[in-house]
Amino acid sequence: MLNTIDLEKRWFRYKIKSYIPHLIIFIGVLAIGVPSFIIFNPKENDDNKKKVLSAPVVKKELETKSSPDLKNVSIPSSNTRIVSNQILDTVKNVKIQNDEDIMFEPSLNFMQNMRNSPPSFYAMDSSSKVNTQNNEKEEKKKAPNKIVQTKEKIEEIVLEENPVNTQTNTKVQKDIQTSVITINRKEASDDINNVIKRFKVNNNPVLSLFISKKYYELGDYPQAYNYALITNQINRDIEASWIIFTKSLVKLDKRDQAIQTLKDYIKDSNSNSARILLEEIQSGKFK
Amino acid sequence: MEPSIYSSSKGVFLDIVNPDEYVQLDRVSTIYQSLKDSINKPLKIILLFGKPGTGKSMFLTKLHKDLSTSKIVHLYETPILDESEFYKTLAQDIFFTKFSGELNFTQFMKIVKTSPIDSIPIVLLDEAQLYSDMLMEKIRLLSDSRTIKFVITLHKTEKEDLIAKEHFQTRIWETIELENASATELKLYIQKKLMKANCFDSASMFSGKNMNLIYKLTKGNYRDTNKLIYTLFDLYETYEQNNHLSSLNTNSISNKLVEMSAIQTGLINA
Repeated sequence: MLNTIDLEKRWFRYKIKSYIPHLIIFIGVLAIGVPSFIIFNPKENDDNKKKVLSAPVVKKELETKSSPDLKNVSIPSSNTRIVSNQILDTVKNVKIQNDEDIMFEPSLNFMQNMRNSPPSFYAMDSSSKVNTQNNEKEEKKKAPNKIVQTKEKIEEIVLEENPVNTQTNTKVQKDIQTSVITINRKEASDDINNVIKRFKVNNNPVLSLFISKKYYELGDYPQAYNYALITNQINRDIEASWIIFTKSLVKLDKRDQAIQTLKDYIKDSNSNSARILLEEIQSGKFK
Repeated sequence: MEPSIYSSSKGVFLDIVNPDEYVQLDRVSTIYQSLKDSINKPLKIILLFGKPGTGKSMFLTKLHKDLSTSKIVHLYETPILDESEFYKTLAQDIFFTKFSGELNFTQFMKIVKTSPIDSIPIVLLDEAQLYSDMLMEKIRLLSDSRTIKFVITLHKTEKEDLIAKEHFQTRIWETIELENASATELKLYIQKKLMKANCFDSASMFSGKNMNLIYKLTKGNYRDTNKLIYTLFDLYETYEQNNHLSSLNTNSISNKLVEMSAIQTGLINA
């Protein structure tokens, strides 16, 4: 007869022994798995948190971008063609920076365009008219004639879709339809310096006229006088240059010289603008 | 008092070589038929080899039983290690010649040549690995004379392989290797064995899991299986006698008891 009690004890010991390898494997897996889980999981959690946190932000941005008030178009102080070109160039940059926060700085790409365009002031004038024709009309109606401010901040510009504009402009405007643009303008002196550098390279009278106007706006009348004189020396037929030149003379207390200059110019050109300015100076309206 | 099913089932797996308890399995039957066919060929020696417990002795016993009615067959389950005694036994059994004193190979060959026999006698030698190399050489010479056919069984070890190669390589007509049973064969073996002894209840107690465990423990070795199942039913009988059977599920074999049997028989080292 078999000793079943002893056999059961031996069997029990055998079962315990047989489970030891499984137990070791289990503990090993735990020892490896738990630290791995702890190490790798928080990152995932962080990522998830970031995703959760970032989701509303994106949503807000989207909401902001997708709620353009097309009627509330406001482009302060931009009645000149140059400024309108600036805006168009800036708008081109909007497309590039579309995915980021849209904080625009003034671009001087328009100067490059000027360089590539015909050198004549009038040529540039006519070409820019094509692109900005409709905008100018609207701007003239809506915005009063203001001098371009040295520090201007253009906030929330939403451009209307303009079918007359070129293909590039159309694309840009489509992008901008769904976005709000914040344009911060920096010191104009930096712009002038850049333009002066460019002018020294190519002696373009358009640039010297622009510099002269800028200095005049800044109240630096001697510099305005100098660049207007340079512009006249390069091209004697630019009306705006003569007007800035005589205005600068008046500001520099050389009223007589300004009057004489205007009279001489009117003789040569029959310019109405020059005649009006002459009358204003003589009557004392312009001081 | 009638013996319990466990007691009668236990007896089925007693480790004895009984040709009446030979279990017909497909693969084993094919091998056996191949062996029988080889006997009818003009062979010198048939080598039957395999690991211990693969059924070599049972094969020889079965062959002896089947051929004894039609041929002169002599089975020597226990090796006759003394050479003179080996010759004297063969002379007496095959040629009905009693010889007193020492009988050497030359004298035995004289007896073989002078004795008129209608058919070639068949000598079945079990556990031939126990014979000395000298005696194995004499057996080889006897087989070369074509006066006696030998069927020998060897354990498959390196030594036995060497014997097979060196002594019998050119003389062996047929070599038959016996292997352990597969899982399916082992299941059939256990159930057929029990059903042959009318132990239907105990045969139905073995589940697939039990069979897999038994196969895992015995690796299909028939001798180990017999020992294990014998001990298993012995355990059941002990529990029954101690009135502890109620703690066991008697509808199926408990794997716990199978493992306990394996511990008892040494298949599990616990």
